[in-house]
Amino acid sequence: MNINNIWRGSSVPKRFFIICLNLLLVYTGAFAAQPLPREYQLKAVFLNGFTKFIVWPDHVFAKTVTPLRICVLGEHPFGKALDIAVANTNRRRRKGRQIEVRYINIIDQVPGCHTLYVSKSEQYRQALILDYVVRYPVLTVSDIDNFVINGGMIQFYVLHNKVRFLIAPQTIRDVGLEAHGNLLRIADVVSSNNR
Amino acid sequence: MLLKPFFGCHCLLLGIVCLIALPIQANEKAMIEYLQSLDFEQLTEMEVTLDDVFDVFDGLVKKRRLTVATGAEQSTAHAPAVTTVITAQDIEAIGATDLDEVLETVPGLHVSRSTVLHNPIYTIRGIHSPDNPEVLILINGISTKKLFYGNRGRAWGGMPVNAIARIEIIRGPGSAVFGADAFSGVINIITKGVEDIKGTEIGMRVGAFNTQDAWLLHGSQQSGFDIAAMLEYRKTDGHQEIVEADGQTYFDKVHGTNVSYAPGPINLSRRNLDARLDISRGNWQLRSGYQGRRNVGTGVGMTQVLDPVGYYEADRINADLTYHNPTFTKYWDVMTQASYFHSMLAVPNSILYPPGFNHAYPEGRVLMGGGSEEHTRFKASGFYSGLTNHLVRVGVGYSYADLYKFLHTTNFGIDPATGKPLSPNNTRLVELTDTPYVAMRETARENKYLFLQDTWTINADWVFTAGVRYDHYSDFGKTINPRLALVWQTRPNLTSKLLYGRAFRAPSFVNLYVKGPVLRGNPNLQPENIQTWELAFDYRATKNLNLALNLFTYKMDDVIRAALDSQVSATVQQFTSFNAESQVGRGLEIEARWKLIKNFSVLGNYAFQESIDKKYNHDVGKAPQHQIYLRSDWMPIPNWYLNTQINWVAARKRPYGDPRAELDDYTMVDLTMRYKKLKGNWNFALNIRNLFDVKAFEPSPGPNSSGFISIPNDLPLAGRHFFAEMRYSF
Repeated sequence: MNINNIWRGSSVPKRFFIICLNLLLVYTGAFAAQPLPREYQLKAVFLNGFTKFIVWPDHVFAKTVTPLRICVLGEHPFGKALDIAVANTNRRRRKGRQIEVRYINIIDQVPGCHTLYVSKSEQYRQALILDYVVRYPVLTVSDIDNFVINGGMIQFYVLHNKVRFLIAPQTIRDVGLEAHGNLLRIADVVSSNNR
Repeated sequence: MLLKPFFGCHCLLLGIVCLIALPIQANEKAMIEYLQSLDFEQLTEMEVTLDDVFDVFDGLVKKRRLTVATGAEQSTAHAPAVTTVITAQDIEAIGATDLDEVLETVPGLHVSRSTVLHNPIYTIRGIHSPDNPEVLILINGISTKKLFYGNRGRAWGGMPVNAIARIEIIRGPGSAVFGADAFSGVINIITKGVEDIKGTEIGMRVGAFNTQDAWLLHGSQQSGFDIAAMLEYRKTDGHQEIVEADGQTYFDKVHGTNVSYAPGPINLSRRNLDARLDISRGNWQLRSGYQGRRNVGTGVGMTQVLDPVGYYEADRINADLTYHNPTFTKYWDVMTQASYFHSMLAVPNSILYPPGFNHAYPEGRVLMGGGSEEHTRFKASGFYSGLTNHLVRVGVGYSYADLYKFLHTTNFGIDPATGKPLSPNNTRLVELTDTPYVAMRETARENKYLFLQDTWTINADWVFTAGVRYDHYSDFGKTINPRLALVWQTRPNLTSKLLYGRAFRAPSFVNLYVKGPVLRGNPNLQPENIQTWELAFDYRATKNLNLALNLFTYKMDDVIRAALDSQVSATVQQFTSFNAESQVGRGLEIEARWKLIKNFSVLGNYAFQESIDKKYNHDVGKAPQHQIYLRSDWMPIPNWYLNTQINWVAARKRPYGDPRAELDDYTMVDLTMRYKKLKGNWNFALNIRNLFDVKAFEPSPGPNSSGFISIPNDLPLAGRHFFAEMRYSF
């Protein structure tokens, strides 16, 4: 028996049922619950927002119009959320430095980045990435467990369905960056093992 | 022609839904804008929907991650294998209660049935055999294989799904990572941990066939330990569909008797108890499990002769102690594991032929016995990340598997006391255990192995993975199995893969050593092997539409089959296992996952395969050449979910020498209605399977050496049935 026979050989009640099922399937949407933001949406907004609270040395920008680059290394969860957040910021910021998002796959592409989000897909390469990036004034951000302990700068974590982050200010200072006091005030401050 | 109305009906539906689909991205833009209007302090206090919560609509289209392909976590799109990941969310959505119902949703995988206790045969890409040793089932990465048949055991008795966090499936070879029997596929079942349970869940289910399920899941942190405990119980009478004729029906005609139980119901009763305990702290994890099976009905009977009174029992115990340190040193991620698996099978009662068989055997031909095995395994592996653009994995392992007890009691055959055949009217049971007449010798097998794998990121778009594993077995010697994979990020939303792998199946102890009245083992057997080439594409057409296409071709060599042994006299037909035939196959799989609107998503896949038995240049038969699976998930009103599944199984040819007509195709429709609040305690479900009560069958074996077919009308599947389920979490 196949679907063809199900339809052709169906009794009137059975056909009625199939039609009702299909109609039900298209009747949708109006009752959907008011959604909460998704975890990845909030993380995208944070990642974009960190740029407001970090001061990079002037020499990292070749020109005044050189954009501030957020690089995402590996497979990321953001979908279009980060692009939307950055586009919103750029739209508001008519003057001043624009932000640019780059999705990269290998660490050779890291020079030129100002913020580096290290995806969980790179957790096996975490040490190598952090060793490499420590030479550059790059803010490193990740969800990987123990990221700040192992030499990263900002690490997201989730507590009671709220997105929080750990921050390692000394690691930030070591590469010549400066974190704004307001950022340190709302983050959980930790120090790295590498200190 | 067959597909026309099928697609007509459903494409119309999809078209209508598309027309009214809301622009999802507009919602996301508004949400991001809103979030950006808040300051950081407010954002840290904002509650979010976690990415892994019960959202079947997002869950269906978002990137799925697995570890089974290389040992490292990666997405299915980039894994150097053709893979499928099924989450607890999917299992809950489709209302599956057993592993078989979950696996039927996988493209290219069809769950057929064996005459042996109606056990599942996981047919992947046309590779089908009665004992199904060519699929490796892992629980938390540890093999469930047994020595005897090289499979999950005769009294497998199904596997409940409440304790499953996710299932990772490789379609294709996996021996370069997992060794023996990762032949046509690998199924890795990952059980729930603390992060998956978070509190306590109790559940109950009642359904057709006098089925009752109950379960308890608990996850908590105690004194610094993460503890997850799971207990599941099932009792069922089975579907009891009628078998019109059996092997005894034939003998009744030949002998002029009337003792067959056919027409009669298939015997599928059973009681299952599954318990798991997972304790972890820091880098250490201790897991243990128990699977008890009681009153496992004999299906259509051990000799394809209905046996309404026989039953099997099994106890399976496993434990493993695992140490995993992702930062053992700066560049080394190290894992070591010691594991133990004990399996006991008992056959307290089994009637091979009913009382009055051939005007004799007043109590029937009776077989009792069982066997016990234990497997002790050690392995150590590590990832080294100190080389730029390389991720190297190395590992070594050792296993010792011992079939230390084999019990054999019967009332026919040779009397070990006299060495002469027992009288056909004998009613006395004779003990063959530890005599020269026992069907299987007690023996052991050692396996040592080492493997090496490198994942080389050539540049931003190309990743090359090469791996090889060397295995040495104490009985049949060594085997080396490589695999190569080139993954190309063709476009930002398109991944292309070219894959090659070689895999092997170790001969089972039945293949090597059995000494039955009909079948003899062959200690000189070599492993079966398979070479597979695959070309795979993963295309993220839009944020909410994911498409995949896989093309494959394979060649099996040294296939182990029983063949008539010419060295035995003409009057006694005896078969011996040989490495003989080869089999070739090719096919494709197409998959689509689509979130149409925020509360409606569909998943569909189509699989085609053609597999040829080279000995006869004939289709190998039994496996479906075409399969279509469609699933829709819909939330019509808040907290109410409706899942519809349609499964079409078609073109199951007969193997060479089987004169019966091709099996009828079938289409089954299942519905699940669930009420679940994301933050609520209660969860209710109502499920109807085989909604239209379709008569469906799986293939029975063809003619035996005497030329007759024991179960001529094939093996019946369940008609329409239902369950109601209730869960409470706190």
